[in-house]
Amino acid sequence: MLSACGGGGGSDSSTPAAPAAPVNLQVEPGDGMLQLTWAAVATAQSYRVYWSTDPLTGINPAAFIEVDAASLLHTGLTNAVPYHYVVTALNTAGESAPSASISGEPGAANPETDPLLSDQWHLNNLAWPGEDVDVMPVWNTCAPANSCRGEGVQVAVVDDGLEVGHEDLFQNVATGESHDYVNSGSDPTGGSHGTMAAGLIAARDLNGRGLSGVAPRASLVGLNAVASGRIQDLADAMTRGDAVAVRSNSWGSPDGRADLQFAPQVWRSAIETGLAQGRAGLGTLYVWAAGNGALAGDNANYDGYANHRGVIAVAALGPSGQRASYSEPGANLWLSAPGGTGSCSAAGRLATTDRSGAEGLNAGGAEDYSVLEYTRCLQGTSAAAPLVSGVAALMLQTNPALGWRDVRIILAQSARRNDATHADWQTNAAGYNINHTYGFGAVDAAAAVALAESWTDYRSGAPSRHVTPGTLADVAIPDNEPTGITSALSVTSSGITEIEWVEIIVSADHPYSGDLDIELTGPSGTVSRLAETHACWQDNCTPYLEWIFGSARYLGEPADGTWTLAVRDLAAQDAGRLDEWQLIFHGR
Amino acid sequence: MSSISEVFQTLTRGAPWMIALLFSICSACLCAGGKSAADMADQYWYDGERQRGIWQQPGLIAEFGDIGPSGGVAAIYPNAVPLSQPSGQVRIWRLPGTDAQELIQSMHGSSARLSPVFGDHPQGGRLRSLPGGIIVQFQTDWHEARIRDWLQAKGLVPGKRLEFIDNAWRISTPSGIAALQTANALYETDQVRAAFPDWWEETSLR
Repeated sequence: MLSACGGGGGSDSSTPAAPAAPVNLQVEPGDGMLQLTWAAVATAQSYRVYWSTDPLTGINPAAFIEVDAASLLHTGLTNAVPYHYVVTALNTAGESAPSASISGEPGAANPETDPLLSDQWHLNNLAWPGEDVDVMPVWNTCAPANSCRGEGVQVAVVDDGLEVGHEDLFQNVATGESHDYVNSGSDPTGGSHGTMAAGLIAARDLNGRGLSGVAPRASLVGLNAVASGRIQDLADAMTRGDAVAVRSNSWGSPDGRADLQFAPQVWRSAIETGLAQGRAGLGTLYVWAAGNGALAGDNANYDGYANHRGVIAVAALGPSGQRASYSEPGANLWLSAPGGTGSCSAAGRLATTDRSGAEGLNAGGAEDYSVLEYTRCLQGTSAAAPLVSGVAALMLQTNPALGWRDVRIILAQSARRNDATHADWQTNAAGYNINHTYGFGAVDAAAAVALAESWTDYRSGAPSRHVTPGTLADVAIPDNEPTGITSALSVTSSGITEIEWVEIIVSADHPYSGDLDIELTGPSGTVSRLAETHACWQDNCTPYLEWIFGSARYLGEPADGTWTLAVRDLAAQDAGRLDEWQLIFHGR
Repeated sequence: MSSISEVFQTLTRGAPWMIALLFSICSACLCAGGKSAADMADQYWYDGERQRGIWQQPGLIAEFGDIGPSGGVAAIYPNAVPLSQPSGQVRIWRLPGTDAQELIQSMHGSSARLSPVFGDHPQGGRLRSLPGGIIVQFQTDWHEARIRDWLQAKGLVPGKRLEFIDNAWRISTPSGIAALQTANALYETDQVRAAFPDWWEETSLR
């Protein structure tokens, strides 16, 4: 940061003007230090920070520091002594006028606080009471002390990177467990996205810095497979590290395409391996961002990653507990969690850790924090999924014997019915609240941890599986006609009295698959809306060729009975046929 | 479509294997006849047992590895326009007025790691390209020595054994179309359970 270079003095034929004076100076105190930031000046090549312990009305030539960036960490200061600053900008044309002066007083931070915690409405929502993850009761009432914040549980952040040395994360980073897929090392420091997700899971609490994660003493593992982008790495990150209990995934197929995008077999195999062998056979928890493409007609059921039976797909809520506009619907959704909406300045987004310096989401803009290690501008299902990962860590800490299926069931049973008047809420035949926008509802940490603690209904190992024969429909679908066609499938002697997941495999020959509206109705009358008529991105509609839809909505219902698939073509011009469909039930 | 000569250029060892590979490629071309959706595609690959079609994007090229901003494609072709940064360690360039395959051939022998860019749709869709390397899953009763012998006969060497799939190995290949053709040829021997390129695949951070 510090630079000894001079301002230079040469000029050329297009002599630039001296830069404008810096504005928006801010100062943050620390123990024996002050952090100064200001708005970058476009034509500046460097800055000169003049300082004094006496009030400044202009520059103080006796004491200055030159820096290249629009910030300075001024260290070696005496606590409780006021320091005064003005800043100028320099380029080859000269030095600007001084900024307005600013003062700050170094002081030891209170180690028992997280200064930005009050901005984390997703942890404690004061504006809309109750519309948060309800984790404060877990932290405040656990016994024995210091064993309720994720201690001993490893959570992997599969993303573009994780800044392992971040001031509010490093205490929780599991030494030597992270992996850099780009450079084949152990330091995945890189993109900012994963660092933001990590803070939501396990930013360190009560350290006098920053803010707090949902499980603020859980151990973090950074796996930057998304920075590599190779399918082998994306698959490897699903199983790397024997001690990892939860894998938080804030990525997936490209959003906003409104097209069927499969997950490759190598990734699906890795998920199956993790479910069967992770956590010494109890199964790894995979938490997945449902997708941000709703405004473009996208649906989480079209994404082969979020649509897989082994993942917990999480939708995003705004601070009022209603759907974030970008959050994709889907019959595969399991839960919802705060993801943020609106502008940063309206405090509708989430506060979390950010990549240090200007490489993060917070690049020094006026509406974000002055300290670049944090941001209050994150929004997306990328934010919602890590919160559920943190809750899963708290559940596993409370009851390490829970299998992956147990955790899913508990999350469903303990979810809160948010946005209570939303028109899509229904109750399925097993008594679960279900909603295509919210899954089983908003995650509730206190309820989930309490249920995890008292859990006795264990479901160990793999679920039972029943595969129906393919139903050869071979029926033309009337074009642009609202009645459409139906095809029935009778299931008998499946042996499954409590469904945990249904896979619906559909093949339909249609030149524009986005025309099709597809619904499955179960024996108890529960409906899964699998596809809605929509425009495809660039008019590219992948045909329904053995596409596997996932549905969570039959949880707890029996499999036996008559299942009906309804297919309607609700748009003009193209026509096609329903070829074949099939069901696979997972449950007990 | 890549040329057969390119296969000769990119795979430099294993003459007997090369003949088999070329025969396999030509067989695949001859067999194309409306059997599946993939038959309509420029190329295909095997995602496990499933054949999937892909379409080459003629104006795009992928560059992999740590090349400075003025190196690689940018140095050879100054008019190349970088696409908005996709996820992953790849740069995708749009090449106004130039065919990607021609550029790849013109840069043969350079240190650049290049690949055509494919879409899952004729007009694009999700993008994917070939940074090099394939993954092969062998029969469960094939032990390492047998695997090494089998691969060696084809001019290939197993790399790392993968932990998350049963009896699967990563095998180095050059970047680009050679990786795809090698994987397809291995799968079409009917002696392995799976063989597919280690694709770079377009993803979204959410």
